[in-house]
Amino acid sequence: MRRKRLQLALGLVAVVAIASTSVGVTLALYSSKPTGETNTFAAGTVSVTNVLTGACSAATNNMAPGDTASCTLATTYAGTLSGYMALDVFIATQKNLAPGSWTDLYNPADATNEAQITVSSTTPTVSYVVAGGSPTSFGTLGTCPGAVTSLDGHDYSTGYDKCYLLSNLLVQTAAFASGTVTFTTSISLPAAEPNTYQGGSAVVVLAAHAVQSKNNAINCTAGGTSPTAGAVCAPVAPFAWS
Amino acid sequence: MSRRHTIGFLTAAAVVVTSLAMPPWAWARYGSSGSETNSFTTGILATPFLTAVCGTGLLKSTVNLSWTLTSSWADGYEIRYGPSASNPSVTVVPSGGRTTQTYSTPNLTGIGDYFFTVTGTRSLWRSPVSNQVSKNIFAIIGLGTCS
Repeated sequence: MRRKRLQLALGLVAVVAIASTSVGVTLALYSSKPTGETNTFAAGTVSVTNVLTGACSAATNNMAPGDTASCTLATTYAGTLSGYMALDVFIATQKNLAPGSWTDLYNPADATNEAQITVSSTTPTVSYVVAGGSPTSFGTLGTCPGAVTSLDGHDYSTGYDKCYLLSNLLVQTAAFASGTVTFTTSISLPAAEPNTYQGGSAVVVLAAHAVQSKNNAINCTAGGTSPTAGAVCAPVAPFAWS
Repeated sequence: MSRRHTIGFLTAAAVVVTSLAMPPWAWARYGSSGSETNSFTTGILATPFLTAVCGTGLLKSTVNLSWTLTSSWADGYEIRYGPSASNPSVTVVPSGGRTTQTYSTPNLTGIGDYFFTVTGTRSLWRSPVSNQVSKNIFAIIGLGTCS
């Protein structure tokens, strides 16, 4: 009985083996299936890179009546997406700390005698002004910011008398695909500047920023979809600077 | 459906719904920025230090003044003197600019002390007033002495 069971088992194994072999031959078919489609989605970039060309045209300390100086900033647009570029200008000013009656070096209330500060650019050639205002009236008086909220990370909350900020001066109506804009900050002290300006100071911070133009068509409070380069572009939704 | 898969599905659905519901201006935009800081400061004229000596010679009531240099960017000096210590009546701008460091008064008249100060100048800017020095003058009709 036991031998019969063993013979039966061996027989079954042989049948299965033969069957597997024949099935294997039968199933050795050439087959193909479509190649999977691969879609890659890459986000574009908006990039501005600043290069301090450095160098100011003259010493910016110990300035005196009649002196002038200018400093340049080269900003290169290098995003893969085109973008609109704008400039923020921040000015912090201080007066002589010695006893006496002194005046802040940047003093819009005295447009004739204050430090005459201007900002301009080449490629494109633009003079940045407050719309309808004077080139020396940069910014609106506000609280001097701390390191977290200032444009350059410096703490202006102490050591400065007054601070002014002007945001979103449009560099060019058309979006940048590439290119370098050179901004120049110039200062001149009137030859007849009163003695009260002696020992004053002004810090001028330029901050260039860009935002994608794709799906973000420009629209400004002044000028609508055809704003003026050099003037403030306060965004009108759906356009936004950030 | 496992809990993990359920969360994944719900998250994906939420993203889709949110994207559809969000207006275009609510989408995140790509931006970039950078800044440059320029600092401008005006100078403060250095205070000269004044010394005075009486002029030499018989019956001379002149005073010779000399002082230290003010700042390198100054354009000159302004001398003030007179019988009043608080309000000198005479103002003199010596010729020669910043490097001129001496001045001699004409014969001074009157009887009493004369007070002298000097300041550095650049256009309308003035340095702090120097130390005040004095000399005693005894002079009548243009002839006198200084001590």
